[in-house]
Amino acid sequence: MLKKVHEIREESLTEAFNASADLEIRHIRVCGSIELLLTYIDGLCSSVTAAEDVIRPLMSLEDCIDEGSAMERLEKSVVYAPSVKSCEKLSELVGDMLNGRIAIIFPKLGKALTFEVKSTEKRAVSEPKEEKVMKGGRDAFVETLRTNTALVRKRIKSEKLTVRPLKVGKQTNTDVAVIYIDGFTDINFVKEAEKRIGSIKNSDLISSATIVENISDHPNSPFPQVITTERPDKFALNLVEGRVGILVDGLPLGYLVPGTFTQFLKVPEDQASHYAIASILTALRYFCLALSLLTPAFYVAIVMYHQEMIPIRLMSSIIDAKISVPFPTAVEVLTMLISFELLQEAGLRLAAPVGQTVSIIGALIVGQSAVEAKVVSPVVVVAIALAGIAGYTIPDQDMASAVRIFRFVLVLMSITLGMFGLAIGVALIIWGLASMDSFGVAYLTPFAGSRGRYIKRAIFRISMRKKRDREPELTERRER
Amino acid sequence: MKKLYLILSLVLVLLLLSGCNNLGALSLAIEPDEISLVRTLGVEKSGGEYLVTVCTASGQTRNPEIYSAKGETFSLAVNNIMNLPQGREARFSHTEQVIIGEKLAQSGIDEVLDYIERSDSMRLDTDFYICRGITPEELIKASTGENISISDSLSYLRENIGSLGGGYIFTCLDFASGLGQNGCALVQTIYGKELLTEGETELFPAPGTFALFNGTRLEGYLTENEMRGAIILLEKENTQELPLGIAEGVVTVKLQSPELKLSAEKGRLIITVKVKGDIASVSGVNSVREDELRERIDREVCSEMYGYVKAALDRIGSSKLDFAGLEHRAEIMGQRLNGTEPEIYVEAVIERTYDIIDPLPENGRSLRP
Repeated sequence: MLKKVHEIREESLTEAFNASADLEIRHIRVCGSIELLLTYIDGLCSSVTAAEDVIRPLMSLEDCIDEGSAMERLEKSVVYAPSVKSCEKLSELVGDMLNGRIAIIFPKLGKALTFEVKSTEKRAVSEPKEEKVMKGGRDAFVETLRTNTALVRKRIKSEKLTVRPLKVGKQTNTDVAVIYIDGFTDINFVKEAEKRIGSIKNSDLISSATIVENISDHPNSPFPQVITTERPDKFALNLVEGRVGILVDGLPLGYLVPGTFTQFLKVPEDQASHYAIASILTALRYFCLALSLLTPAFYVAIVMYHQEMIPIRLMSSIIDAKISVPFPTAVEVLTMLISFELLQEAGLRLAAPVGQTVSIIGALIVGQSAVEAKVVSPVVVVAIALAGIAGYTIPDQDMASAVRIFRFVLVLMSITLGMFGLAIGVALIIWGLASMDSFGVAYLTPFAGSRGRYIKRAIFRISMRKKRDREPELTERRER
Repeated sequence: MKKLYLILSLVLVLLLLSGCNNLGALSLAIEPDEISLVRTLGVEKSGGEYLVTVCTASGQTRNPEIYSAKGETFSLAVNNIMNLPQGREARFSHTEQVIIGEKLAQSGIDEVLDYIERSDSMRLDTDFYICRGITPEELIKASTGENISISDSLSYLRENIGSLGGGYIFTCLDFASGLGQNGCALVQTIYGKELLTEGETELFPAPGTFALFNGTRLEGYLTENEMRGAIILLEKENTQELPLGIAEGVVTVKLQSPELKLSAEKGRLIITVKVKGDIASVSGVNSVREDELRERIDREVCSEMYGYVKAALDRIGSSKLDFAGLEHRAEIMGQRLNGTEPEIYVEAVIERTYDIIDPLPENGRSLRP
């Protein structure tokens, strides 16, 4: 914690950093008698660049009579740094040093100059790990904010692309950038996003959840309201559709608002494929979403309550399979659902090759053995597997997780009340979604609200020749 | 509070929706292995009571089972059969066939029809049969063995009704709508036919002619020709193999479902029947040229069709039961029939696509393509 001592001196700096081991302070004498302090945070600055571009020119400094003239010459020439900044307050100096700048302190003046010699030690831009790319850019966001903004700028070469800096976190002082296209994006979205990011006070460690939960309109809902992506092309695409982007230093992800339901079922590949193919695939994703959400619950409802809905041959097969299983249908389905989640979680947490093996072993051996041991009936395995596989077609992981949660809820409602319970459950989910909004845009738009005429845009990809500049739901807000 | 009202209204809407209002069904969760699916339901009157016999299926690996129960009313008899041995429950949701006994049909089947129509599990598209010369219980028991059940036999019969000499299988819905529209209805009859299989005589259901109902009571049975005529007039699907005796030989013609065109003029009904078919086989016809043979086949087919329609119309006239709904159909055309005999026109288009058993004489051209 900084004391209310604003003077820039060696003692106050050491105290500010609590004599931290990575704080480097070196006394340098220039022009014979002028003693300066060179200081930086080890690791944040590039020591090679500092030595070459700052220390070497500094040592060759001549003809200075006092600290004032030395400071003036260093500020205007001598040092080979792209950016120089004068600090008169200790807090400014500390902030700059934490941002990777090297500082030259003039003790008698109580002032300092900071130069940008950031460390180049950062992860190289690589392929996205979570979001598969088939036809599109192979680069992904990294942990460095400036690299990420540059990746976006490479795609939107416009002076209108605005990057507004923000600092978040009492202790972490994390850099956050709010990105939008000036004069194109609704400025209310930008103001609202800045307001919400600015209101992050209590969370010091900036994680993905900190950002998402603080800027979501309904943080208690499992359905995602912030589009998260590691792909700069998807990020840029959403910016040109009129959304506001948020990049956080240290997080290799971009966040986009407002996030509506239909956006979580779209992938950038839709823009790269023929519109007919993209439309069919998008419609298929909607179908798979319903299949993933409803199949286990529907199975429970019809097998336990509404056998008349099943054709006689299929019913006979179900009876045959069920005769040798000692557990009730409800227990079978719940056990299989939990097992499926266990396998999925185990596969994710383990290292990639082992994870794959666990998944395969789980699916093939455990499933097969469970059927052979007559612990579960094969039809249940088919129903759960179908729901699981259909769930994998949902492009957004957060949306897929929400579906997984509600799959359980619907199964429980079906166990209790059959098709009646399933109908109530589905109606409640739709009601919940319809009453949500994101930054003033109805979450279910264009299915809810006054934008019924845009429904085909949600399910089908419009031909590029007919595409409008901005997404219609982002132009007419709060018309619900 | 607003949310509470919304949830409450949602639940109420779902409860009041048709199909979801059977609250009793909410407590009827049952495991699949605890149910037996009734496939065939037989009903007959026995000693003043309803005797219900069911043929059930409990999966494909178990043998079909037959159970019977009695009750003062049909509903009671059905309730008495619900709880089967080994804790299983009979479910009527997959009933494929309903067989009514002759005695019950003569005394009236109001109660059975009413039950089927009101039941939330039984389907109206269930096949409807009248059992002739044998009780449904006897037929179900006699024609159900280890590997085959009466349900399978009747399913086979449905698929091949034309070639087995039957007419058309009416469903409960056909029967009910016939009664509602014309006050009378037709039902396919079945009887027990003994067949020798693997050295043993077994009884199988075989199709007879149609039973004619006046209201819900059995009035009588149609003859073969009347049945064929009724099929034409009702425009029902039926393919028929018709053997024709021509020049000391036999020509078998496979006829497709005839096309019927009805029109009315000055209170008189005009019936035009167009029948298409193929020559299935020609046997023993040695002295006829092809063009002459064709002409005779067409003439014979037309004559047969005319005979069928005439027989059906005569039955309608004599019984005063308009099972073909001719009056109703004329009314739709804006005509009231004045009782004048209808005009009947028949056209036959017989193709040749089938092999011929005997070649034609050298002086005649071959029918073989």
